[in-house]
Amino acid sequence: MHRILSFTSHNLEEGEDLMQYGWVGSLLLIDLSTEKIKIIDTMRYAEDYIGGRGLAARLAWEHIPKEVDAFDPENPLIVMTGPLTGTPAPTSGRVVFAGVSPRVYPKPWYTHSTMGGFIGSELKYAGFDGVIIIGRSERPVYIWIKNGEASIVPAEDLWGLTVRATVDKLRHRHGRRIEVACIGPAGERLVRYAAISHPPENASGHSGFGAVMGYKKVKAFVVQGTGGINIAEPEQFLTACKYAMKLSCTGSVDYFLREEKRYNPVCSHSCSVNCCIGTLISNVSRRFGDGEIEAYQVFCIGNIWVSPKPIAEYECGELRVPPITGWKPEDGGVELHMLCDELGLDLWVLLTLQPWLVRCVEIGLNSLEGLNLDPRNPVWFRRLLEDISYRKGLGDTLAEGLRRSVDRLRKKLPNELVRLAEALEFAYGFPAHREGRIWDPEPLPFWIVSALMYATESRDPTICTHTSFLHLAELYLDDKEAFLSKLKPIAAKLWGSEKSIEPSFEHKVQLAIWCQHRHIILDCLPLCDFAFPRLIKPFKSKQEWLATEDVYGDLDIEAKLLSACTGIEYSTEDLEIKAERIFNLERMILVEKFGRNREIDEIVAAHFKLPCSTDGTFITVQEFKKLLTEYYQIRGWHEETGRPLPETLRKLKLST
Amino acid sequence: MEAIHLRPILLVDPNKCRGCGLCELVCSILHGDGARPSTSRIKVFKDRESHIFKPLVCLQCYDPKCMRVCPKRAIYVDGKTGAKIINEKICDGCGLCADACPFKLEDAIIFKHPSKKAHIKCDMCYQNEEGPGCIEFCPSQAIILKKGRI
Repeated sequence: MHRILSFTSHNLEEGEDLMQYGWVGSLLLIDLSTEKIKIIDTMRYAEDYIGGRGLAARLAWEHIPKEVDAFDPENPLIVMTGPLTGTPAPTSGRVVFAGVSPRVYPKPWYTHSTMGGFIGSELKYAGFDGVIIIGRSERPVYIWIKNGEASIVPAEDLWGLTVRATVDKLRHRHGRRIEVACIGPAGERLVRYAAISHPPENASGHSGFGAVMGYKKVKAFVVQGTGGINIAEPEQFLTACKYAMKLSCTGSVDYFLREEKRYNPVCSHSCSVNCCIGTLISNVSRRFGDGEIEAYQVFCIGNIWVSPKPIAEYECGELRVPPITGWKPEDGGVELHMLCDELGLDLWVLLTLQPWLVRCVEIGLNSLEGLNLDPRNPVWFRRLLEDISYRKGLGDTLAEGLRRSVDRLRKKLPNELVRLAEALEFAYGFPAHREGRIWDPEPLPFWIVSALMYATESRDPTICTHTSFLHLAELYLDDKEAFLSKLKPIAAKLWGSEKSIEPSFEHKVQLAIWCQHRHIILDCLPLCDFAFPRLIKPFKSKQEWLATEDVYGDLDIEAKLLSACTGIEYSTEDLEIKAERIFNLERMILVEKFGRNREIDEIVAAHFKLPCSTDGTFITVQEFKKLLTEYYQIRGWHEETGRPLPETLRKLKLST
Repeated sequence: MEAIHLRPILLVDPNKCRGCGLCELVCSILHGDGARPSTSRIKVFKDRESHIFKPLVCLQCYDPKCMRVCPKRAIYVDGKTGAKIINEKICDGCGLCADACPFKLEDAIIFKHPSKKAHIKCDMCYQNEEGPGCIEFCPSQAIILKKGRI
């Protein structure tokens, strides 16, 4: 190994003498263009912006120039942990990536992406709360961080390798006790939905930051640390952890519960939740047909690859979304899933590409850019995934994401296919998810909450807002009356009116804002959105759910964990105010640096004119605009521009 | 090798371990090191690709070799739990105990504290009224206290 640079932050032999609790105190600023490494004091921002997504937004405000492209040396790639990462707070082993995302359509802007795993904890044990990469290297490198030292190491020998081969080679070089996050061929070739992979289970895929790493010529982050994290009040903290574990061990997510106890491997450090990530489970089969398939680590998108029945069919007028065809394990469904992992592709590629290609064939378009289309054939799809990752033929076009591909092919395509692409990736180029139509059957009132979030966030927001509210749709669909009677007191207390959970458009703004804030808190600490926030108690069975009168869980867990860990007294109200500040800061980044405005927010309105696949409800563009105005008013944003008002910024201490 | 344990010892079931690492974190916190797996007295060896997780911890031998070889007589038996405990004030870190351990596995059972002079090993949380912290926190009950013939 040839080390070209290193910097020592502090002597970890004296680990006990660190002054901070929760945070370890240093951020790495690595400039690849000048090959300089600097240290930033985390505590400059930590108390106000907590960590993870909040701290990343604060640094992005400082480091992102106006109108910068994703593929520009000045686009920073921010890797951030939170104060709870690496501690026994359940599900806290998470890490947040942020920067200008190449996936955003029509033009890249700032967003974030999170993942679990073990690398966040290891980074803190190595002495750093986060890493900011700026500039661009001329040749392939990887970032090697070990016990307070960081170096930029040449990686010519790793460039071109798949994800697993990269990890194997790095393990051979640095030993087994390292944690690696790296890119595969897709990231190297700037596929706009390339993932940063942290094998075997985790990847940060949605925002395409793998391509940003590829552009910067950073093949991998390799981390090893033997340091620790100081806990301010160890006794209280462990008590809070134990309490949080008790509440999070099952939950609304697991409402569709399995009775039998399996010991599923965790996907993240400190995860106490025996959740559905580990195995393909009966709960999914309830919704997706007879899916009693034994296969592991394929939850959510992965299980669609191996779903024996076509799913998510949608038709409305001229728009037809053909069902997604999964493949049985014997046909290679699991292998396709693994291939995405190997190439470093966002697994969600199936959700938009396959229905679109199937529709091409259905209407008689049998070849595109010289390639005969056979999208229901797993062998053909396997080759397509490789072509995308290595940018060959049609794959080169599709590597730009469906919306950009359609722009490129527009002249050759009938209007219906253009319209279909717009529906499948309706939210700024991100795939539809939990919007009550194409993907997940959320009825009203659920889809209107996600619609408001879609309109005002930087990316598909629902993928990281499961447990706050959207997952409760399962309970609603199961027994509407029971759901409404149990949730009404909670709705009145938290969102100001019982009407907020009724199937109407009234009082939904407060609920949407609450969801947004609760998930900023989660992404800052960070905790997993499959386990928190605990709006309702965990229930082991439907009988238990029906028999319990007071179903309210505990929304103070986050504040309790953070206070005991850091020694700084946070109340839930404090955290919600900080979340509001962080949300407005993210908005200001988009408004100031990327020209986000009301017109752009309204882009998603057209999608919600389509009827909901469960109850047929929809919202006209006019009504949606009215709702958006109400949202702006409650947020304290300008009604015409969508820019936070000066008094809002002053109130949130974002300006003087 | 078979031994009779009159007092319960920590036993781990690798089939139940899910690899979360909570036992390591709780162990290091209860021993005053903060959240720091490198100082944990219980170590989970993880092969995440194969989903093989093996928590390793001292079996508190009935006839403890570590205790017998210690030139400083720094290892003693706790009357309540039967745990073999290293007195960190006396231990000078010579490492003979770690060499003598019949289960020595990659510094997992007895090893030098990364930032102290002394060696460390599992003391069954003898000072903790609720018993070993790893048992208390293991979400899948992979660690148990058991006595009898092992």
